[in-house]
Amino acid sequence: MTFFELIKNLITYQKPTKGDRFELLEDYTERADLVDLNISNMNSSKSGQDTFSDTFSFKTPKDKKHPLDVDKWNEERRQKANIQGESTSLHKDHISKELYQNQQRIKQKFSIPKNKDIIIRDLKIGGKTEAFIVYVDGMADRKTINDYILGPLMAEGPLRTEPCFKESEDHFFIDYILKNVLSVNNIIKATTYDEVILQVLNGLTALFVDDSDVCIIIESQGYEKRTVDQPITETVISGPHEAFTESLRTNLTLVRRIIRNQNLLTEILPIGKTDNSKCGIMYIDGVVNNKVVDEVKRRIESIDIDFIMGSGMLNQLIEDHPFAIFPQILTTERPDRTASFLMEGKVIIICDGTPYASVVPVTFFHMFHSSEDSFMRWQFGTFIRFIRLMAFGLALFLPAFYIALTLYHPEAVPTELLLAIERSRENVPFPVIVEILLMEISFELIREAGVRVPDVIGQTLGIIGALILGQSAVAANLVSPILVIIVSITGLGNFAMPSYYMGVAIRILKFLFIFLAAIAGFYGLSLGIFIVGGFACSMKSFGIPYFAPIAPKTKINPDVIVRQPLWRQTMRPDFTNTLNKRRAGKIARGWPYKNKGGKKK
Amino acid sequence: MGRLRSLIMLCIMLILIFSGCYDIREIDDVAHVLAIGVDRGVSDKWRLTLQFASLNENSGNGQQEGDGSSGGGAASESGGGQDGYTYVTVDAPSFFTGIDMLNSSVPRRLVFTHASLIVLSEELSKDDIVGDYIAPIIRFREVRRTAHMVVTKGSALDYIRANQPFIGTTLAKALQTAATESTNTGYFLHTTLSDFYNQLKSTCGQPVVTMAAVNEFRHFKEKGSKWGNEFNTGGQYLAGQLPRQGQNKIEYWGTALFDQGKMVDELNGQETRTLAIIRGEFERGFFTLQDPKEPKFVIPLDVRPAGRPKVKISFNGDTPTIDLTIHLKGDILAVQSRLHYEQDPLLSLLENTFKKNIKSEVDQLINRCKNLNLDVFKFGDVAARKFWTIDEWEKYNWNKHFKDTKVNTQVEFVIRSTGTQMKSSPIPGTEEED
Repeated sequence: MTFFELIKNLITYQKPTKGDRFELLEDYTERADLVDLNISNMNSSKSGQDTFSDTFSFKTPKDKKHPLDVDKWNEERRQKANIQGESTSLHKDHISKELYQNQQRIKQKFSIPKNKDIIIRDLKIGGKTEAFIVYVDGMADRKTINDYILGPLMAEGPLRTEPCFKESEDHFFIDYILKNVLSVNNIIKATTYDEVILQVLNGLTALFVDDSDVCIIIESQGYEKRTVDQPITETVISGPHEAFTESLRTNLTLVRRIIRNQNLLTEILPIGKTDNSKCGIMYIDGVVNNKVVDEVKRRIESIDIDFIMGSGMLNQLIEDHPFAIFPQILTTERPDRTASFLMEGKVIIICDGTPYASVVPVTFFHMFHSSEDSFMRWQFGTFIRFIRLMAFGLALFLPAFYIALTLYHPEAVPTELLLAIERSRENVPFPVIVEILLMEISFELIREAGVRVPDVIGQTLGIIGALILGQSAVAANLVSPILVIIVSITGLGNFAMPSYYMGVAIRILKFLFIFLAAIAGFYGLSLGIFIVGGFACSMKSFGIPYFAPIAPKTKINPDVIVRQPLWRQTMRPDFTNTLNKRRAGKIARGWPYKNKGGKKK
Repeated sequence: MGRLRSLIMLCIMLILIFSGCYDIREIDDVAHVLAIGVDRGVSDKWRLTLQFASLNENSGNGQQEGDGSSGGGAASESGGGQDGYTYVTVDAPSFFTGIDMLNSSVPRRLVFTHASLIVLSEELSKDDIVGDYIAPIIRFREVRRTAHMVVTKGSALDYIRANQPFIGTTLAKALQTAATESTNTGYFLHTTLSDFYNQLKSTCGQPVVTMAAVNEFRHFKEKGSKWGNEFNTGGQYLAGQLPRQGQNKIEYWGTALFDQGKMVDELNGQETRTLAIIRGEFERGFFTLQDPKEPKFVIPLDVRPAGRPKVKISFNGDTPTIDLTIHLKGDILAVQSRLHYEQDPLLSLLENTFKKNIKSEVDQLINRCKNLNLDVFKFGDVAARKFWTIDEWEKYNWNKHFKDTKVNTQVEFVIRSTGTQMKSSPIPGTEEED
């Protein structure tokens, strides 16, 4: 390749070489007429479950690939693991029939007696059969173990009075214990050590019985966790005031409590290899496009990493463009917002350990939405969204705009203002660019310091930083007063972003634009907008163009920037290619029309 | 491959960075000129006067008024604490040399992007060399063509010396608002550099420029015999002759008429109003009308246009005939004689009197301009539509034929509102009036 060809290739259009990039394209199975059914039908109590599943299966194309349901999927996984286990490792991984061997094996696996967290307690069931339980101290609830596991197993009763069970009928014995003795809600039978260890680490209790190669795993989780609290970053005025916590179980419950629908599916996937962490994927079957679910699962399953702390780390591993500056996954700490995304046909990923839910796929415009928008009347919601969009523009462009204006295009400034700026800069010894960088960097410092300082002095630091620093910088002739206004408006605009990550992206881009404006004025600024915009338009979030529904233009559900009245938002976003396109009836509110809505009694 | 590519990208970025910043001009490295004054020089062809903000908060103290070339001028005469405006003057062979000469004494670069006033002296304008002086300013990229252009009595230097803000502190705002005041009075027209230049080139008419002057308050007589009952419209003064007194010495008043770049005549305030009415640029004005019944009283009217003036032009051979219809409407502001002017028949009488007055003023002005052979009424724009090609039009030469035109004027005037009074009735007093 010659030098000139290289340059030519740099500036001309090249077809993307990566063919395996996931794109969410429409295909014939997703035509609207095939699946044009109303979600409200799904909930109608009269038609009942059977009727619903009939209509649903009737309208669903036959060759559509359903995601496996949980049981099947677990079964498959287990089989896969079994096959692997059998082929690679030895028979050892299966629980042995000899109790002593089992105990030794467990001790070996948990490094007992070095590891003091694991408790093994020997007992005799009904005073006859040897057995022992294993649990992690602190993870398991002592009360459950004492009252509902140890108690019934060792108590007076049929176990003691009945004659001894035959040795060959050990399964029967296990089943007897399951059915008659243990009064605990959730009990699993396990056959391999790996499974037992994983569950014990999760806080469950494992019961090994003599002469049995099945281990009973008894639900006894009871570790310390934070209660459901108010949201910290996404506070709203109107709307619910609860936020996710660190516990995956609680978080899933919080969402399920809002969407009480049997089609809301939760799949639990393991993510970290060493910390055995897991994440939950939630979606509404029949609404979500299964390709997205498959893609999410494919990406999460492919992760091969020791340790994942939470959604922040997981998001970095599954996002489409790790080098792009804009966030492609939306995180929220609000269950109500999560629920509304689910109803739009999005997939939710909740990780154990962080109080956030990740939403995929999302677009640029989702970053400007707040859960409050839908709670307010449409005029208010629209107005506030316009304010946010303006805030975006100010936060991104204002300093750069000021630089471009004063350095290259002073003729565009009104004369009085220009003279005022001139006068205010009279005593400042630095060029405008130094002045603005000085101020922006100190503002970033205040922000960063404000997050790090202890809560008690955090408030004061903000005020001191903003006021004193600005004031004295002006007094010391380091910056001109007009610059303090510009920097503070920029900061305010940034704080108005509902998405924190978008805010950080804007903070970084702001500096890029400042430099471009200093290099080439409005020309540089527009070049920068073109380049950044071009990159953003080429991005995809889980197969969906980042700027949908504006670029590419798709059918708009009137909820992008202008939020039209709720009863006009009858369709789910077109670009998500949901199976079920409608989210409201053709007439969402029947009462203004005669004979159309409202059943007469 | 990847390394080469990043090398090229680096080169492109370096080119951008090093070739950027070329036009960069820190805002405090320049002096923004607000007004440009042009006179005939003594030591050289041009006498260029530039006014800009001194950005000196304690202006007016310690600065001496300069004289003649390269002199620094002192700023505001009233009160400290406001922005100072200063000026520099130079005699130079050309506009651009003048700027360079001045830059040697002004420590900042002179930038003309915010120049909003261009002042030409009357003496210069009458010498048929406006084209010579205007051409470089027009060609200069930095001067906006929207700058207000005026012709001043006396020298432009004197004018700029007197050009100081007296309400508020910013001259730029004062220049802007003063220029747009024309819409409220009609006593002067707002003419910009581009208007002037376009009309100068135009084959459809002749340019007009706002007349301005420094009023030395000599016409204001504090003492003397008091005014009787003679009627006066108020607009009969020429620029610089208004009998007034007060801070601001500067006044925009009247219009300078140009014949191809040479000033040939000057209109007073009232004539300028008439000109504005004919051109369709009149927006509002208070007219004082002599009471038709009782001549010692006057009736002030608030007059506004009721549509654009209709101009119809027909050609009889080479002689054009112009039918001009002017539509005005107005409100009564006061009836001093307390006669019942609010209703017919006196209402019609009032309307007719006003119509007659306006018609005679319009006819007089048109006749005056016909004698000078100046179409300043934009009739040419309408007349040009009668010709199929520009060649024909240019061959016809409208400016030459304007003196032959026949103009039929018609004035429509309606009184829309009588103010807050429905009826004027005599005030009952102790003296018997009947």
